[in-house]
Amino acid sequence: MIISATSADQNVFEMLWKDRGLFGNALLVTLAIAGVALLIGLLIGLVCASIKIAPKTNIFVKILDKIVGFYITVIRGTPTLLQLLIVANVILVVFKTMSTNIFVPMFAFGLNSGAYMAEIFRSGFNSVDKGQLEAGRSLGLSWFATTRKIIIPQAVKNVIPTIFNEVIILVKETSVVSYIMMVIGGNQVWDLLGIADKRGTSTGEYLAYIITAAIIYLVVVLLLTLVQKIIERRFSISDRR
Amino acid sequence: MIDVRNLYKNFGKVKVLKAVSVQIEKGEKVAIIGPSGSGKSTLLRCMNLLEEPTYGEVWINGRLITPPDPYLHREIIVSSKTFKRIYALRVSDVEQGYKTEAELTDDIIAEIKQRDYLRAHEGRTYKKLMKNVVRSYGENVNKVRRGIGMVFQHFNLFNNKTVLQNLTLAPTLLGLKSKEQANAYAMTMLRRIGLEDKAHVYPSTLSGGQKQRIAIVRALCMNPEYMLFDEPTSALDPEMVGEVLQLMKELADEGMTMVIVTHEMGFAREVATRVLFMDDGRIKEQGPPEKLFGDPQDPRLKEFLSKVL
Ligand SMILES: Nc1ncnc2c1ncn2[C@@H]1O[C@H](COP(=O)(O)OP(=O)(O)OP(=O)(O)O)[C@@H](O)[C@H]1O
Ligand SMILES: [Mg+2]
Repeated sequence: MIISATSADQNVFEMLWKDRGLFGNALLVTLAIAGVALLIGLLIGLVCASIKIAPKTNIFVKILDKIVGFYITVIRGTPTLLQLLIVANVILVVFKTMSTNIFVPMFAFGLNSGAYMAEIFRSGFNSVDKGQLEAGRSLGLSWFATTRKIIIPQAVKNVIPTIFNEVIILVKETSVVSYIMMVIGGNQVWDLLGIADKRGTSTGEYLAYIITAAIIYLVVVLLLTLVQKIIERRFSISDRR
Repeated sequence: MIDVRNLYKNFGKVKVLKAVSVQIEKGEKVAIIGPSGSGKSTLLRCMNLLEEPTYGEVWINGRLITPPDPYLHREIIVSSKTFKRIYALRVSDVEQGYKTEAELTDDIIAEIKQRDYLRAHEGRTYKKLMKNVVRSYGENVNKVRRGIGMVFQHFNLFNNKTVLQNLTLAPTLLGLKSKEQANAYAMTMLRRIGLEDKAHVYPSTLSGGQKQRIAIVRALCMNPEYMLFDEPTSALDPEMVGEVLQLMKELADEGMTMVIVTHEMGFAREVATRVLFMDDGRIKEQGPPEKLFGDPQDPRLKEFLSKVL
């Protein structure tokens, strides 16, 4: 019994090692989803936050402001899982195909994190002293130029920790992807958790596989934290005394 | 000339400026003094439209930078629906010989002004006349601001830019100078204030006095015609006040047109060619410093001076 268990253990590690290629690919899938979603989220967030803080001088900006407000409310007020389902089903209805490819989670998570990024950026903008904008404007720079050259760089610096928090949440949250895809039918997106689940089930070593996945997530998050430290240090040159 | 016409500024229900008119000619050095909360900063900030007046107009070198104020244009009031309606009601006064047509018009205009009767929609002619004013005299505020430097109490240097970048950002971004020209000019200015060794440091490494002198120089790098100062020394440690006032004095001697909100009475007396005393949102008294400090008339000014001198 004991001997067979030991040999089974060796088998587990061998099995995991043999699947390293699968895990590697799955990690890429996870990072790709999180990465693209992050880019989409940052872009949406920056644009939405700019609209939110822009002077509401004309009707066009006012309308955009209302739309942005609605978007943020809806995204923050509904579960991410549900949003993912909705995006997938909208694609189903519009394109008449069951789309279970990787673009669905990329887009859905991007849309989702955009709302949170918008709020993060907005608080970042608000954390920049009002005098900075006034100084720019008093020199004859437009609101847009001052915002771009002076306010955004300082706001970004202030929000780096919160952004990284959001990125880490995003990386982990992408793990629902394969589950959702199964619900929708016909999974084609094998992310970290998905592959661990699939291989774990078929090999009968479920616990070992999901723990391996957990360790990989942990390493990714630790690396992200390291990157955060480096970026924060680079941004803090203007604080140096 | 900076021409402030009948300016009112309300923050919600708070009336901060009330019917302020002032004209500042080229070459003048105007000090604005007065108790805290009297509207000095607000008036100054209206001069470059950092604050938008509720009523009234601001003209810079003959160009209108605020929207036109209909109450300041007779012909616009007369073209309004409101005027026509009231006129129709009172025209019997003319018919029965109580008033001439001109008198009635004057009375109604006065009443409309006093009661703030004009509304957003006053008919097509009214709208056209308003637009005409903008077309003939209106000027883009960003353009006008290039010629009006402003110095703030809290310096407001760009935190994410080095000292040199602070000085060159606006002139280069606005295409007024090439990078080389802007750098060369900025370095000359830094040398002038003895801070050329600070060109590549960030503002957070500077003392208050250094920051404020660089803020002044930043404004000068735009080669402005006017300089507005809002309590430039109030946030400084006492030992740094002198160096900033010295630089301002030099500017004054070079003929710069300056408007200075200040609590430094000695400086106002020495440098200003005219002093405005503000109280409760109005200019209560103004005149040359000898007159204003030596022989004040307004009781509130007397009280104020007895406290600060
Ligand atoms: N953005 C604002 N919103 C609301 N109230 C304001 C605003 N700015 C100024 N006020 C109010 O307007 C009044 C006049 O302010 P202002 O700053 O012009 O006074 P000041 O004469 O410059 O005073 P101080 O000497 O303290 O600088 C004050 O009562 C102030 O509270
Ligand atoms: Mg003030």
